[in-house]
Amino acid sequence: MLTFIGKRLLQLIPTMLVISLLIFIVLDFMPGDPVQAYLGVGSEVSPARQEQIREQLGLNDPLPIQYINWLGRVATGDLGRSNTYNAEVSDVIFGFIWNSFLLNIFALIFALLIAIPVGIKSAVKKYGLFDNFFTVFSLTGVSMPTFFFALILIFVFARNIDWIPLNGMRTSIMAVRGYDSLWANIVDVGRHMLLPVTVLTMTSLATLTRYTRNSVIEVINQDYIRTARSKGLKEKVVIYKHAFRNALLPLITILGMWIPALFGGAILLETVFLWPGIGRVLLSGITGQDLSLVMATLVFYALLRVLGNLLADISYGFADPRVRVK
Amino acid sequence: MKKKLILLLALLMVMSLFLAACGTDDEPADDDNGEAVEGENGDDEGDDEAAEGDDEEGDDQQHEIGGLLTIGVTEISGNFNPAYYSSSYDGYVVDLTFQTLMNRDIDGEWVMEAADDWEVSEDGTQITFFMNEDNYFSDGEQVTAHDVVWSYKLLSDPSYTGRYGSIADGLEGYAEYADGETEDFPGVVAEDDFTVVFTFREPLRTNIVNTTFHIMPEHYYGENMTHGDTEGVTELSSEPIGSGPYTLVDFAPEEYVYLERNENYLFEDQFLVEEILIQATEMTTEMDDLLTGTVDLLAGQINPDNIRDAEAADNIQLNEYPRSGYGYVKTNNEFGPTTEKEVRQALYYSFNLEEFVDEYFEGYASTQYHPYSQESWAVTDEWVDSIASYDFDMDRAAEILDEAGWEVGDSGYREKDGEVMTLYILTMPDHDILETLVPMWERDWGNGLNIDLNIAQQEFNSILDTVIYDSDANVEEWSMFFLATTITSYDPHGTVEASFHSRNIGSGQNNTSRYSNPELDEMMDDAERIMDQDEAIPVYQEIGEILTEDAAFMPVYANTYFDFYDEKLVDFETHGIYNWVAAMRQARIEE
Repeated sequence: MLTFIGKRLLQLIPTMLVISLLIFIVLDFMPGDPVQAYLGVGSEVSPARQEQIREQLGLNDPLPIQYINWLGRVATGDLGRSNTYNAEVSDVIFGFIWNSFLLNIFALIFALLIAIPVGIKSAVKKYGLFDNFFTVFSLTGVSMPTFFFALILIFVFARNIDWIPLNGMRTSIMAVRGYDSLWANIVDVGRHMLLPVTVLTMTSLATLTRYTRNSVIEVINQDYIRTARSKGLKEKVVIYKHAFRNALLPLITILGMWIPALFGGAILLETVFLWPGIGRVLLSGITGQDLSLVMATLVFYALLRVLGNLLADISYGFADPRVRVK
Repeated sequence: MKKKLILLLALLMVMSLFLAACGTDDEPADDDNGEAVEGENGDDEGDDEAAEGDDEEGDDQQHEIGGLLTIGVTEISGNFNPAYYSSSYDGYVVDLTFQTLMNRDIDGEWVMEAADDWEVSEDGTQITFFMNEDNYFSDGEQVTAHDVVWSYKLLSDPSYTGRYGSIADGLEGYAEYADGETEDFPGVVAEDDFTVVFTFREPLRTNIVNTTFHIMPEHYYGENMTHGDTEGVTELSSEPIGSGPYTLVDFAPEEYVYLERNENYLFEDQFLVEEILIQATEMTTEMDDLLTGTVDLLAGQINPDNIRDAEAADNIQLNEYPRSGYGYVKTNNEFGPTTEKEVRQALYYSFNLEEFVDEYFEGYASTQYHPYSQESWAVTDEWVDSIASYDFDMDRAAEILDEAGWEVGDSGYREKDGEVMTLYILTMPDHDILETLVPMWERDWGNGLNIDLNIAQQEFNSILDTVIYDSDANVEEWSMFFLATTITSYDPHGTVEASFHSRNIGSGQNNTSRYSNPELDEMMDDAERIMDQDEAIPVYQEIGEILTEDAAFMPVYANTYFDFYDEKLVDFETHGIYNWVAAMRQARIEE
């Protein structure tokens, strides 16, 4: 198992090199000029000075050299400096990423808590009233744009219920003055999380429910389930002991894919709810042509995704001894 | 049957969600998309009258310091270093935490800040400031002339990468210092601890404003800096230390900035609000934040629906003022039919500005035919009434084109010497203003005047590439484009010089319409040397008239800006240049 993991980790290196090179090239194609964007449109900085800044930022080097320089810096742990935040890119990313994580982890937990029982129940009573309701419900959840759903919640709930805030992560003035207790802090952040977590849960719920339902349906049609039933086992035992464990497998793939999403911010959701997460940082990086920041964030996302896949592969082994790799 | 019922219910649910969404207000986008800020650093202001250093005699009645004011803004990135910030939102914090030698009051007159007095030498090249000897930074260190000198050396350093270098580049010895040739910088010298002398290469009226950069404490920012290596300064961005009226106490990026009044601030009777909380808001919900009291102030509002909501609210006051700046259309003066003055004039006459302003801004905007800010001292009511205007007149437009030899030919379009009149118009996708303008152009220029319109959509950054950053290579790619500008200086010089002086034609420069008029160039150069503001007024008015007569560009609208604020904030006066930060000097909270 360890050699398998080691091998896969080594394979990550060329993968990440190719991905980062692609991102680098695409960013170079972005319209606009990083120096001008940094100085601000219409700033009266003389062309000679602009040239000087360009030279200092290494933007005059040919693209391959720029890329190699970037790689060299990254190898030493230096992701560069963000122009928008005037801070180290790594500080910016890690300053915001936990806020995104906070939202996503709760959303995922709630989604799983709801999706698994709902998925199983739908599978067991296929095409029943319950199943049909959730089929329509999931389709609605999947089809509805995040920001649209978020706005509806804001206008319906936050506008009319005093203790549900419109947006933000906490009440600024409370944070400034210092919370009376940890509990007060948790309650304040919790209030602010209510709507964004609801939106995230609803949107991921649909996919998770459908996956659980389908894989359970697949499994309960297998021969060994029929055997279990014919042995006279209780239906509950059949479903939860025999069927569910096997149905977990495809779900684990999905969860593996979900890991990057835990750290990745939802740009629209964070913008609508003014959540200080990594998605909003990426957006302001893009509008501000903050190349170091955008580059690092995108490469980081790619890395998470690749690691997520690896994790899914590894966890297969735990759930199903048959796929355990030698 | 059951199945059908469920489907029906589900359908109803979806429908109701959609209806709920339709009931919400549409978000009329601001023209932020097309924004280009000119002279943001205000480096082209000027005033000849040496105002004496009186510290603004207060009212008879002494007001107490106190209260909390919460301001909603849409961006907080956290770069509060005066030499490196570029977002205007970060600029609020910089202006609140740092001092300058002197400031403008609401009438545009100079008032003393860190300096007690100042004088200009007879030849106009030297400006001397006598600084207050009892002035301290928020960390307790004294503010001296050496801090001023250091701040200007930072702007002139060879490794300086910020945007404010142009404030220092007129100083004597700038080039040599900025190239790293010498350690000497004769342009700004501390004669003693409290006397600082600026020496400029040329005697220009616009030098004066360039002496008013923020004073940065050398002992804090300069600790890790040597000539040629400013990296240590760049890193100090989120913990500003200055001698301004406020100190930054708490800051959470993209969430809030919290400032408390600086105990060491020189003037006890100014900036009477004790706490300022700058809070992130979202455009869709900022009005709710205001009406529920989450924020007390929203500045620079233009949305007609929001304006009506604010007017209807009991506890909300409104300040109303014309925007200092405008949305404009610029035409290419080096390529295509718009190189001809007659064509530009005809386009102007057939551009129904009034209709646009009424339709889009619902009356909350005005039109203007000159290039200056409405707050500029060069602009007087009589003058505005006297200059040429291009009131909508299709017949006149057609007549001008006919006379200029552009007549409708076999192609169905206007032609001259066998060439069809084609205009390449650069527009942006999903831009509310352009979505109103383009159909008007198609109606009046396309169908009305038989001009072949070639309308292309490009992202904002691509347009900037075409007309600014890489403009030399793209001269023949466009005939006209739309952008907007905000002017932050009272002096009219910067506005016209940047946009219309031929030396500013070229990639990365601001004369985007590539307008070249040697006579006007000379007039502008001379005008900058006139030290007396009153003497300069008629010259700038003449420059404005020439540009208008030439139809060098078309200002489209100057929208009316509103500040909405809770009635607990009193004595709060603002205008297009004098923003809420400046207004805090006199404002106070009355609970």
